[in-house]
Amino acid sequence: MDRYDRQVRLWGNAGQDLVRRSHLCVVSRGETPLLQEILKNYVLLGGSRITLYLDAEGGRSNHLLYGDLREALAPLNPEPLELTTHRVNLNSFVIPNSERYSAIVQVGLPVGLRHEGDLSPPVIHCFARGLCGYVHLQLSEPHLLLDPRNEYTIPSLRLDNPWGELSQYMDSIHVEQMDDVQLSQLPFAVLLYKTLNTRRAATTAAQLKTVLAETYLHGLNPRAQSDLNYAEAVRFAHLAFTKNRQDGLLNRLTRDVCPLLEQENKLGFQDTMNQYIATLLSTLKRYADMHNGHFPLDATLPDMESTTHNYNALKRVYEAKAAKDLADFKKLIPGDIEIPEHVIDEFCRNTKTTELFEPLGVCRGPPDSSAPPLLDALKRCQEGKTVDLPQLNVTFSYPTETYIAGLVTQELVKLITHQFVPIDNCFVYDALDPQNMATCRL
Amino acid sequence: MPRETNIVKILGQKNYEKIRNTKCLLVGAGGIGSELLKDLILMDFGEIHIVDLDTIDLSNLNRQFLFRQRDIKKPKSTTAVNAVKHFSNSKIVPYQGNIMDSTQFPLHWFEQFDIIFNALDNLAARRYVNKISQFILTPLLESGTAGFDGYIQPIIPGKTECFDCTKKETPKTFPVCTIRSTPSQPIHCIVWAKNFLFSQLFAAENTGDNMDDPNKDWGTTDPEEIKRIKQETNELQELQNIITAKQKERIPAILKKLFIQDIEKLLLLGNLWKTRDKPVPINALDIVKSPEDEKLDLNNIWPIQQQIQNFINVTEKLIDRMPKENNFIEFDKDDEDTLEFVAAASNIRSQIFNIPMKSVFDIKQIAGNIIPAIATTNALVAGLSSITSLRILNLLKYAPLKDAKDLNMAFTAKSSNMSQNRYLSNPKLAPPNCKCPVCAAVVRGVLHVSKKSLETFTLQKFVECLQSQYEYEEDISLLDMTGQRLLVDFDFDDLLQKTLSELKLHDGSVILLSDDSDRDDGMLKKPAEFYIVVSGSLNEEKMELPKLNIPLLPAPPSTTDTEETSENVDTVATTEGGQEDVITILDDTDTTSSKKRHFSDDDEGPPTKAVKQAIDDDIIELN
Repeated sequence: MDRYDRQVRLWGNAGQDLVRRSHLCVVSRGETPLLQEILKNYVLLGGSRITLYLDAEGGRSNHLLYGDLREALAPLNPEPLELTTHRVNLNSFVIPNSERYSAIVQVGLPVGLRHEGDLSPPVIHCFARGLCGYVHLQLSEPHLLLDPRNEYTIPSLRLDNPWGELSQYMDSIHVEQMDDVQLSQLPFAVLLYKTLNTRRAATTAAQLKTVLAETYLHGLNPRAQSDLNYAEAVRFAHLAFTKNRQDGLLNRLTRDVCPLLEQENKLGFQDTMNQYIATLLSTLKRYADMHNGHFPLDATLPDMESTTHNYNALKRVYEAKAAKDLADFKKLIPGDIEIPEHVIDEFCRNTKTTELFEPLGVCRGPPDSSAPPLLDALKRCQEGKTVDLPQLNVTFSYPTETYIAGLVTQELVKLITHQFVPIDNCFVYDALDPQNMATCRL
Repeated sequence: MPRETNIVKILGQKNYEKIRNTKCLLVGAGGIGSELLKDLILMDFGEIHIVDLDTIDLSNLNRQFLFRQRDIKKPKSTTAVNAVKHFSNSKIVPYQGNIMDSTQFPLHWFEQFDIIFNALDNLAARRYVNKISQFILTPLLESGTAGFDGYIQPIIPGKTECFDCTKKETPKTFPVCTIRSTPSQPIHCIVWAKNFLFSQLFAAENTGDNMDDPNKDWGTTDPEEIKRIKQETNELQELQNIITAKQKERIPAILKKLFIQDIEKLLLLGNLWKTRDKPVPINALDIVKSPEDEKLDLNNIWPIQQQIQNFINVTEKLIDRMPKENNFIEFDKDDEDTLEFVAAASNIRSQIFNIPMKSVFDIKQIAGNIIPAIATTNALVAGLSSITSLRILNLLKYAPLKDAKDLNMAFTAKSSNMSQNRYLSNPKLAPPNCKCPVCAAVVRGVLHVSKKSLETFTLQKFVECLQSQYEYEEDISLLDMTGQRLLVDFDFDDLLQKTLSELKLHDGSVILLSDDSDRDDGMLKKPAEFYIVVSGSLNEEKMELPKLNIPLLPAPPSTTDTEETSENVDTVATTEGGQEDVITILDDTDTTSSKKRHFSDDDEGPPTKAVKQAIDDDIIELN
């Protein structure tokens, strides 16, 4: 109910807390609109710890929003601003203590900077010139997601692979003794379960729909044609099958993710959240091995046409199972690492989403064979060479820098909160010619 | 090097002078508005006029970077302008007001601008400015954000599609009966608590809603239930008296009435519960006041006893406030007392109807119609909008705009779907949709009438003038679009002898003239929409009709569904934050009509461009 209310609705209080505690390192040749806008956005979002490296020779652009940065940024966040600025020679600069930062942003620098030590936080390279610009995310360790915040998730109903209590509950419903009104009040999950358990086997949604029509509509309840729960059962028939999907996720976890994380773990993770999630992923594998290939159940049920009573009864079965699974899962977490409860809870809620098993930076495919031509042109601009493109041959465009800065800060939030899928991994922008725009993997 | 040198480089000297002479209208000084104001200033636009109705709130400060803690409750427009003065080379003019107020902002006022930027947060104002831009043919740059998603849409009147050419998500509707008698989702209880209970107790105007009106729509035809609703309304009035008489000791009576007696009465309506679970009244023993007012975590869901205690506590607070606020407190999501009242009442009701309760945090989002908003999306949408303005005004010397349709819309998303390369999608603009009721399906003009004629012209004379000027046949209809009412048609002539001023037509009224004749060749005149400008002296009798060529078109096959629906709709209008929001509450028998309408609209086919559903700021319009 406060200053951050509107964004907490996107990434939650825990996410906001990560933003608040984050520490950003920014390296830029001089003070540019792009730099100022990035810092402005970051402090507005709730960040307050910034280490800024500027080149000893770097000047100030002549069209800046802010005069004195400290004076301008401090009022944008109620927390005291911790801004330290260092003037260094960027030609021979090595970022010291890079592992202490949540992320590093390199503004308009032609080459990536080196850093001390083996561990580095994510680095975002960005540049804007004229009506064009780019954002490039470079990861030194896999970025692991806690919650992709997908708009739609596929619920794990497990109708094709029920646990004891679910079977018992379903079997306690005697559809053959119900009249058409009672039948119309059953949640669609019950109709699907009953159909799966007729003598006619169905292994695909299409088959299931056929059997549903034959046994239910043309058998048990001929008056169901206009029943909402029947319509839902047809529409969501695919939700009856969760086993294949679960097996696929487990396979991916076992085959790709776990070996990779073991290797990474030898080095240690720079990012604490990565460390937590890596631990939870390996715990998940052990859990699955001990529980017949299942992950802890997520109790989120989709809305279903039915009486509240029937729906709540079904919901209680799922909730009881989810609570038990979560408790069992927690027992398996190694004792040498203390992971906040809410991280574990959130992780378990999201084990049904694919994105959790696709660590960014390693698991989403190889780099593209060639970079977009506009990116090369922009890089030549950064090196101070002239490029024969009208939209680049200008030194000023405040709006483009605003736009690119917006993207950079947006990516920072995703990286810091471990929510939402970050850019993978480069976006090149051209305001004049959308044909030139591209996303690519470098 | 002064900053204009660089802009000259990008624009050229001639175009730089052009930008210095450009006058922009920026509607909205909120999230996108603050960012746009800064960008337009740094681009050296000559003159920027900025309009906003709102005052600053704490929850704005995470993104509206021109405002500070000390500015809370101050007007956004003037505060923003004060904050940018130190880096501005532009002339900036602030207005605190509603852009839809035609007295403060008459049509000719809009005509001074070269370009309009919409940075609004509601559908009604967006539609209004869009219509204005169609009347005066001024380019409009529309924009909006919701969380990580944002869009811009350049609108060049007559050349590209307008804001209303694509179907927009309309406010969510609920059947009256569901709200009053048979809620099944948390939102039904929240709407009940906010729109019925809260407004009845704390914001009721004693209008004496005529309950004996035989034509009143009760949302049901069941006489038993109508009787019950009538009685309930009377009883609510009594509850209101408890509040205004400051009888704090009788708050438990309110609880007993709402959550025990009313529920018991509902239970007597046997046919309601044949296919539904019966509600369970709260336990009278639970109605106890807590010894102290403890601060609860608003993110958690509290047990029913705590909800009841909180109901009592917060009602006491509101009773204390009533005399100081003229016995009129409006629901405001940022007013914690009103929010907690609605939360407690809706949760108690949820408990009764076996519906899951919600945290205050979640109820705030639903009741307050809250759209998540962040600095980054606003920054990038404003950036896109200001870059695009250079192209609309044709200010890029190396990229002259040959065809308005070469401009791009832009949609930005959180990039989760990178595989589809959708970080930013830039569809080209489409031509106007020929079925669009705003820009293509009507002819449009400005009608000037003197003050004197407004007083003396009868509707009859007015209609005759229109008919002869534009060659309409006998049967026409005339609608007052601003007041949403019929003035005349073939079987309604009651108003013909009234004068225009008696009919409350005024400067800024918009009227729609349509051809209702039944010609043998099946042709009809295209409808014409007129914006009325009242000018001139009180002495001179004068009316100036615009020169319009209104074509004959083949008549559409039958009446449209839109008309059908609007007849059945019982609208409840509430005001919030000075702006009018409307919730439509459909009759129970109409629950399918929204679906039906949806399908037929698809058949008629406004192009379904990827206007993301979640994008509009007022999707869940439940106010």
